[in-house]
Amino acid sequence: MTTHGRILVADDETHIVQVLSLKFRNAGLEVFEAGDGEEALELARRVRPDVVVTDLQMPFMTGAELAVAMAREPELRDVPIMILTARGWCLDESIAASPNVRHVESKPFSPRAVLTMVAQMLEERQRARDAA
Amino acid sequence: MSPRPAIRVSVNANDEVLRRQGIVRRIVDAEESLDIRPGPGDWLEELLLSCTPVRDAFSRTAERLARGETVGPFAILPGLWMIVAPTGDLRRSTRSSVAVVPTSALLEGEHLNLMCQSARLDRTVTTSLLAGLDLAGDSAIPRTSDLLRLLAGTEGEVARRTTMLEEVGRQLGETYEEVHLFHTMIGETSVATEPSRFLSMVVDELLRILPFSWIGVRIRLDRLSLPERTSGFVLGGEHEDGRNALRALGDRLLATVEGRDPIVLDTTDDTRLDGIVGGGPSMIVCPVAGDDGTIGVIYAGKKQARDETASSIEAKLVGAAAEHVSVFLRNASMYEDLDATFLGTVQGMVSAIDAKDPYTCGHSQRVSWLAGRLAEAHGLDDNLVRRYELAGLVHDVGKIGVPESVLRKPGRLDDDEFAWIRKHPEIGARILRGIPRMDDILPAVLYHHERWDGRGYPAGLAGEEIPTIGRFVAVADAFDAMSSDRTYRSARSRAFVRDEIRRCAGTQFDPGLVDSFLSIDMTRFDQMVHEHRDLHAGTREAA
Repeated sequence: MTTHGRILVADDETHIVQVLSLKFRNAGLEVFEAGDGEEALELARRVRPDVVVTDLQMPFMTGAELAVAMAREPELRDVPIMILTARGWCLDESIAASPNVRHVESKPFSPRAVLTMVAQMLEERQRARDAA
Repeated sequence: MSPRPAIRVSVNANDEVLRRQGIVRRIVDAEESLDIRPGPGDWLEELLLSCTPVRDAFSRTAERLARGETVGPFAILPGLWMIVAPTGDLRRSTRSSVAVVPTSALLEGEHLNLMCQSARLDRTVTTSLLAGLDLAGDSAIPRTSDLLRLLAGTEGEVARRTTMLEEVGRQLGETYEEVHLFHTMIGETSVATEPSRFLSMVVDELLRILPFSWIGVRIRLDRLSLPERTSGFVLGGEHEDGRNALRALGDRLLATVEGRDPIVLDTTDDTRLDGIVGGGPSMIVCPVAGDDGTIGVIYAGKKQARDETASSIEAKLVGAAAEHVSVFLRNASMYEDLDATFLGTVQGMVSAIDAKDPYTCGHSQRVSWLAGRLAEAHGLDDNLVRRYELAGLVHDVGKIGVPESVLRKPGRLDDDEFAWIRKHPEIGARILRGIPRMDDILPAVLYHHERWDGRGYPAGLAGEEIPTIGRFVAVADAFDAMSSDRTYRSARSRAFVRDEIRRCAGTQFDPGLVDSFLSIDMTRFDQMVHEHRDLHAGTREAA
């Protein structure tokens, strides 16, 4: 699978960032990495990613707060977000309801399946842009 | 706070800093062909890498490095140096970063003319561009050499660690796939899970993480005791060859593979397939091992990727799934055997009780059948249907505690005798209470003589106070009682019994069950009545 796009990966667990980044980079995507929600938001403002894949539980700013913060910024509100949650984590309904959150996947996740979902989000985004 | 740049970017950043001092670098490796072509449109690289003396210097250096010689800084031309810095790779000790370093002396010498000609650059413009750089003097070469060697060693180390990290990341990624697969499979592993559902889940999960077009599971039902409706073939994904062809392929594989390890089949020349194809050039096949030989096979075909050959990691994942399927199927089979043994024992016990009263011969079996059909007609799931059948089977177990004289008495019972009859639900519940996992059955035994209007026994519960399972068994019980001969009367006609059931909806029976009950096809019931009557006649003659 080869795709194009800029993708922002945010997780405070380095090994997860490593696994996902490698998967995305090997698929031809440009990857940016952040270790917490604040860093991710700042990085998103700078690099304008096409898709964000973020952990839910992170220091300083959670993945859910990141989604809400991005939804408030005109430049970032259309960026689709995928949230990864720890197993058994009870998801606050307001998180899934945030319009920019497209997928919620629980850990342990399949990197291949995550890549497939990201590729779909990129395609949808491209179609939306073409239509605009 | 700054974006974390990729390592490759930082090497480029180092080159940017070096360029400001006029330095360009190339990697020279005995195992790779020498490539010193200048970057397109890069005036500095064109100037420094185009002329013959520089090219010769690179060739000679490459040869010397290949021979294992140590190469110190040397002047290619006056004011133009070559500095060799090993990258510190122990396995590829000749791999070096080779720098071309101009000094301020180059601006004064006549060789710059020659270099500009080779590179087709304008002398005047080039001189001014060079003058704009921060060129060191010849005396700085030893210091520059030290720094370049330090830099090359560090970059080499970073590159090795990056490679290592990528490898760790790749392996970790594969481990994640495996963990995810196991996690999903274990979540579904319960003896209550239908084997067909479990196999479909495994196929779907594998399709999610493996780049194959289709995945099939073929099971040897003859070597397992699985529920009747279990399918021996589960197929998922997209396939052009058709379901039947892939089922036939499964049969062929089942007959040939053994052991428990996955294999990658080259379908183009594997004689085992004997002309049956449909799996693409490469297939993963893994036997599902049983206690005593192969009980199934998982096979994945038509890989959708640049490399159409199945990888060992993909094979390993299929192997992990097969291991799990093996454990699940053996457990399911064992559970089914256990269930059958239990049911057989209960049936034996119930027949013994029914035999005490010749008129009720087969009654429990028929009530079991009726309760099961009513549960189906009412839309309950397969598991519940089986529980309702069991409830019907044991509902009268308490009659074991009622004297035979009462059970067999022709004609009306007096109050004392009827008091005995009224005890049988509680006796039955007491008997079954000691058997594990019968909690859901007990209410049927205890409450199958309750009435919707509250005038039943033993508790006098009314309406929805009566547990659902008790209401189901009550209808089934009454229907069979009216349909069979009794000591005090002969069997009623079907039309009479149906009218009676409808008439008593809302008084004796849950009115919500009557329509479902009357929709049951009674062919099998009538068959059972005849079988039991013949059996009864037989026992009487023998006596």
